[in-house]
Amino acid sequence: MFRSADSYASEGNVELLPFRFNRLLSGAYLLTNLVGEHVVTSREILEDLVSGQLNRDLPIFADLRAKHFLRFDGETTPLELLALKVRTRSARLAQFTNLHIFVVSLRCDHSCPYCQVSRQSEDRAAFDMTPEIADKALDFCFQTPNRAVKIEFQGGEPLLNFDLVKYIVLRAKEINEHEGRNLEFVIATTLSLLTDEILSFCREHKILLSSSLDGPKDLHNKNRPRPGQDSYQRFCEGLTRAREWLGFDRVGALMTTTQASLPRVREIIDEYVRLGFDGIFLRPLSPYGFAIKTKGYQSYNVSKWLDFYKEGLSYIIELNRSGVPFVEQFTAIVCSKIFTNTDPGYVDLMSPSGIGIGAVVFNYDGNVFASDESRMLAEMGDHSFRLGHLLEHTYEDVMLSDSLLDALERSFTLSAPMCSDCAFEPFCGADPVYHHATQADPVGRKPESGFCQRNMGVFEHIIDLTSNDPEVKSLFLGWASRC
Amino acid sequence: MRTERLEFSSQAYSIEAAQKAAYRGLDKFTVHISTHEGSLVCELSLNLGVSEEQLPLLVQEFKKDILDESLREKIGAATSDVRNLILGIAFSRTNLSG
Repeated sequence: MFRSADSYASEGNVELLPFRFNRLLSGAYLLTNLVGEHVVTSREILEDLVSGQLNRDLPIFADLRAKHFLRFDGETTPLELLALKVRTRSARLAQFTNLHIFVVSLRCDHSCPYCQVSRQSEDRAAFDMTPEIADKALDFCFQTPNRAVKIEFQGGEPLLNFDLVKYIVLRAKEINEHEGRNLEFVIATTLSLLTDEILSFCREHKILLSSSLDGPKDLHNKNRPRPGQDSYQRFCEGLTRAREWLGFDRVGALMTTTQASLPRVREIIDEYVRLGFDGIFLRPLSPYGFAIKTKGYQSYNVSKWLDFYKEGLSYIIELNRSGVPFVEQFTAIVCSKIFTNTDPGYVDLMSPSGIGIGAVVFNYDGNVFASDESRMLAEMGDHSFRLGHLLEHTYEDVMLSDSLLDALERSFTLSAPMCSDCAFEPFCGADPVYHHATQADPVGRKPESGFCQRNMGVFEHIIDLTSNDPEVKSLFLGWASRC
Repeated sequence: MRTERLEFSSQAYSIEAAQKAAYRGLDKFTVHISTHEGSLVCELSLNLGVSEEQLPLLVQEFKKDILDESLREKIGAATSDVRNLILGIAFSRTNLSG
């Protein structure tokens, strides 16, 4: 027997549950609860809700109750459910530091103007990691409480010190025989120096390759100069060979947006589609290192990048509508945070920040940094986020260092000015390194923050698209579930 | 430098609401906040490089922001206890203490 509909009728006084709101550019209001469940509504409804005057017969009343923005007196289930969801979203914190970046060499065959760290040098002794440093880094890696350990080789061009890559992979697997972690390896490479020996080793040890593709040939070669101006050709040849050896989906690519990219987002996406990739990450330039020195960073502002991103996303939606499945990966990550209760663990959208506890970087010279951006900052002479040295400091020294803990605590979004009141906070993150680099303060004044403007622009655009177009919402929900 | 003087009833709006609204606009203008005979006085001065043509729009945004901040205060006052309770339930039995 089912109970009658009357037995579910709303009774008693209504009590508000914690939520935040933002006024959107459209004039509508976005409301989010403690765990990011959201409603888009009018100012009138918002005021009625807060004053306790909201008409219980309106569909939005049921929606707000279902999403735990309000409860009836005495109801405890909404509190228990919210607590469970808060706990689920925070579960990753107990299993910190998955990603361990080994900078095995700063030497590189490319001289990209926006690159932060690479060196054009034959001097192996000056810019290559040694086995002694690598051993210490591996000891460090396996002290993480995380059962999953990802080791990513970066540079420069890590293939220029491939003997050390091999040494680290073999030694890590040896250690893991008794550690039993879920161990994964990635090499970030231009693909320009691939050999059969390298590919054979990668296949044997299931190593993923992560590469860079900035767009069509002329744009890619302009952004990524190397002797012979053949970066694009080498990338394409390397991609084909790597896919043959390792499997089609074992090679990824990232793009960086330069000023020259801005009017060409459709061509860039077409290039990714043509080469068989199933998605793209429309990445802005970072305000670090040579990007600033070469004025690359100042060459376009957040507003121009947002236009680029929105045009690109619109084109990708068109592609999907025409039957070409293709993902914008930053949107997918954000949608996962907006529409699901799982956190994809994307380092730039974590609070507490992902520095140190999301990823840690072992530089070629033994210095330990809180993030890739931290070592880039150090290359500019700012060592604020150098956490220690592998030959001088223990795991505890590094992970409990003031440099790390102060930055994590101060930038925590639930207590940062403006972030703590922001309806986008459950989707966003803290980036103390960015704010230190741009404003000399790990918290930063958010109205002047490019990080804040960019993320708010993306969040609002996604909320707008999904609120007004069911087809887009269905597409984005599919992307969210991939993360 | 063009300045706009705004008065709000201090019975209707708190200083904290005015401060938070001022913070939201600090990339475009600065606000000097004071009280005078039961009024909250906010003097908006445009930042260098911001055109005077934008002033009416920025004043309008400031008025909306101070209204929003007042609403946030009401929500905060009504929900802070239950928020702490939810967070307490969420993070109890985590073995993080001691």
